[in-house]
Amino acid sequence: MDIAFIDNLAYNRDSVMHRAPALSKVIMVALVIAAVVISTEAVVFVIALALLLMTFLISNLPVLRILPFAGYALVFSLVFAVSSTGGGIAPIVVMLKAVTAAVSMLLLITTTPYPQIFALGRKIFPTILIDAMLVTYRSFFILMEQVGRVIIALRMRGGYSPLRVAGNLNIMGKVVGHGFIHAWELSENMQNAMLIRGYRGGMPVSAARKYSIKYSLLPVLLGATVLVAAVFA
Amino acid sequence: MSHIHLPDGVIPVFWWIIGYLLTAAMLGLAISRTKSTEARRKVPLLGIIAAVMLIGQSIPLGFIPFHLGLAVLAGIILGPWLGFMAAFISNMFLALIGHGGITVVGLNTVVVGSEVIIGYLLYNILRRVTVRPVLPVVLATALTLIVTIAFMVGVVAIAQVNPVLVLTGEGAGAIRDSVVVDSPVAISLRRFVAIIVPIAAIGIAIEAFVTGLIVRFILGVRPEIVGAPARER
Repeated sequence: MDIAFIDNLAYNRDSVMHRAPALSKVIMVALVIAAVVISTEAVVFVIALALLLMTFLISNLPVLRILPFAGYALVFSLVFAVSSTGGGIAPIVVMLKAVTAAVSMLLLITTTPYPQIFALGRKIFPTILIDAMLVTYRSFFILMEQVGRVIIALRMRGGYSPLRVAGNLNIMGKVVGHGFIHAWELSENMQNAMLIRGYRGGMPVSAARKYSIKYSLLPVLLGATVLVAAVFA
Repeated sequence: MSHIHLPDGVIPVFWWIIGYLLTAAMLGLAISRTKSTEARRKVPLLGIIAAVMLIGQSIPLGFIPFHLGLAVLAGIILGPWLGFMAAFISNMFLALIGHGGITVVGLNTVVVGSEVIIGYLLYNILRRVTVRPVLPVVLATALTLIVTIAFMVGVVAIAQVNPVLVLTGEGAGAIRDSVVVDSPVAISLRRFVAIIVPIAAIGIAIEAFVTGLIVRFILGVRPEIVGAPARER
């Protein structure tokens, strides 16, 4: 599933981008998104996408498997592009804006584990939200594994077929209902475990690898280049 | 998919800042309404239900490009305040993989969060007027989605308006004339609605039907999860 695959890339690959501190990559995304917001020039987004794709390549990441995730942004922006009243290449600009922002987010999330991003968020968001995000992150994999097993069992018994939409919906109701009950019981167990361990708010987050300030330059330089292109194009 | 996740670059800065401010206000209200001890106790449930929402949004329903949102069900299980937090968490996770823009997490949360709150309120009204336990869920889901999709269209419509004229209290005619049709981000609302309505109609039918099936399954096993008494088992 999407998040599991992305998480694996963030934790188990190694490159200059992976070793860069999370803050420098968040700054990169902020600069790219600033460019997306201020520019309406297609050439800026072509430059930005070229730079981002090159960075994917030097970051030891499977570009062809990651890029389809930007398809979400493409599909959603397509609705806005088709509805655009601007003539010429305006619909293409709308789609390029959405895809450029999405690809920059993907570069961040495939080189930075979720908990490191949430750790940065602790300075902005209340403790309860960050703790809940960490629980979401942890429980997603537990629940996904269980749902994956149920779906395999369904397929083996002929209970799931892409062409049987009504049948799939009926089964989906039961699978998700089962998932909700399992989630409820999991939350009760987790709540008891947290109380026993003396939880008073604020879960600790530790870094999976050593981050070095010297690797900060590449992401910040990338973001700054895109923003400069947007300003002067 | 009962709603469109707005991508980056299509909504002007002023309006997505308003979206973030509204979300921050709602989150602040949600946290203040939840007593600190109760909040600490419910962190696991909040995080895990957000994870279930994410899983629902990760599984496509056969060959058609729809997925479940589960926001109404999250509202029924968590209540409006914790449910709003769950909507924010799931939107934040999705934005990190390019599924909905990071700049519009605020606006997307306002749309999905309103789904949680309206769904919760409608469910509690409808369950008092009908003896059948699943029907209120189906009706509450369908009605909520109709309201929130209209709300999302309203968000897109208002995003076309020059915010300076709104802030200076100009009349409706001046505001209408200010819409810049040559801008790549300018949207033909009529065309946008024409695209959205058939997609939304299918999405509403699927979401209401599957939510009913999920609740029917839960009522058969752990009715207290959806606030039902044991006699409905």
